[in-house]
Amino acid sequence: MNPRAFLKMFIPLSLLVFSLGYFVYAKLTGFTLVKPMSIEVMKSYGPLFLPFLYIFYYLARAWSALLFAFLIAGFIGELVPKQVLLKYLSSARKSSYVLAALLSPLLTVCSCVMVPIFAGLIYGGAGIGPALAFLLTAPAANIMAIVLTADIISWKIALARLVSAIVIAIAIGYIISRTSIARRIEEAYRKRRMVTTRVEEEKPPIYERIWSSFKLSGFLAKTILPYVILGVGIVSYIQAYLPPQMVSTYLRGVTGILLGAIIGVPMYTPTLVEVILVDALKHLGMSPSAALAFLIGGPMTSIPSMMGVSRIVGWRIVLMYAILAVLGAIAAGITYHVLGDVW
Amino acid sequence: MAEDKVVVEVIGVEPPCPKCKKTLEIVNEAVEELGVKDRVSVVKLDVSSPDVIAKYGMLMSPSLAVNGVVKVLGRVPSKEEVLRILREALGK
Repeated sequence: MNPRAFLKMFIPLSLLVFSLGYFVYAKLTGFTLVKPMSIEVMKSYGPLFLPFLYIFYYLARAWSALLFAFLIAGFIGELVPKQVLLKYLSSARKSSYVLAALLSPLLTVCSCVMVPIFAGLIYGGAGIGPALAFLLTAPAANIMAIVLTADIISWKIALARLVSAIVIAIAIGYIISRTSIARRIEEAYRKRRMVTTRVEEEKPPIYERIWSSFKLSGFLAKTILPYVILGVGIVSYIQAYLPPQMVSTYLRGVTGILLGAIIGVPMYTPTLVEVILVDALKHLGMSPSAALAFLIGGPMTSIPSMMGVSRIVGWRIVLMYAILAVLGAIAAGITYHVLGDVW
Repeated sequence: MAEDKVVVEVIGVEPPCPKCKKTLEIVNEAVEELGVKDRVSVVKLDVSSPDVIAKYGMLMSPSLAVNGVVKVLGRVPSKEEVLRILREALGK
């Protein structure tokens, strides 16, 4: 193997191992690069410096999780045998809700992939149920969001988020597929036979593929990070100036769960920023179950994907699933509340 | 038959996402580099349209098809790869 090929393989892989190792080590020992500064101290520097300090301490704390999340997303996006997964998915018949929901996090590193596969499932006659299960699982349960939730909030919330996103997505798919509007859409495409995608892909050598996965990670970071940093800056003001009494009055108990599920709909938070916002609200007194409701309801009803989907199946289906997603988020919040409501 | 036109289809989302734009860019560069503009027609297709799905089945964006066969699925190919694919299709 020539040195260049070796480096193309070695750099991404060692970064992956390093970031994971650091991430686990820091979690286990509580090790931090810099001593955390409290929000009160940050506030004393004045509102001009506050967001910068906040961003600095955030990155010092979360860089390994972010690095790992972007790297693993790149690896999955590039190295997972999509052709095989798509074949399973296009064989999806009515029974394959679970398959659709479980494959979803693996196939959807980039949101622009979701709507095309959704369209493929509908037009190919696989049924509206599995298509919706697929579409709705991804935003709340994608690998980057789960890694970051586990790091910044807690692994319990991350696990609850993953499981409830899958369950809710399957339930919504099933319920909507029973309605008459959905039946009419399915009827229109039933006669079509799903074409199995014929792919003759020649795979470049493994080091080239690892290198392209690294480039995909870079692309994802370049696309997502600016919004994350901007989001962190805005969140700093929320944590510093939003009165805690307000949060503990409205974002706790049943009111908290209801509000958490509902405010996510009109508020379009770029991916990953919802995690940081919840972290700030957690410090101000938001309850874990309200946080969970927000982390599920918001991403499921993301406006860009609703617009894409409405072009394919119409607004009535979109409206139905948005309402069901909010109800599902509330149900998840209440279940979590009953189960113990811990961070 | 070598004189037949090679049809390269870049299949992405509409409106184009950054990755689809990048793929189209790379394909155009590769065609330019080989100097075969007159023998290759590059077409942009919408991955979510019923026609594309009827023809190719379910795809991920961006994908690249040459003469009706998907060569790249759901990722941005490198220029070397596109050059290789084009050379093969052109039979040289």
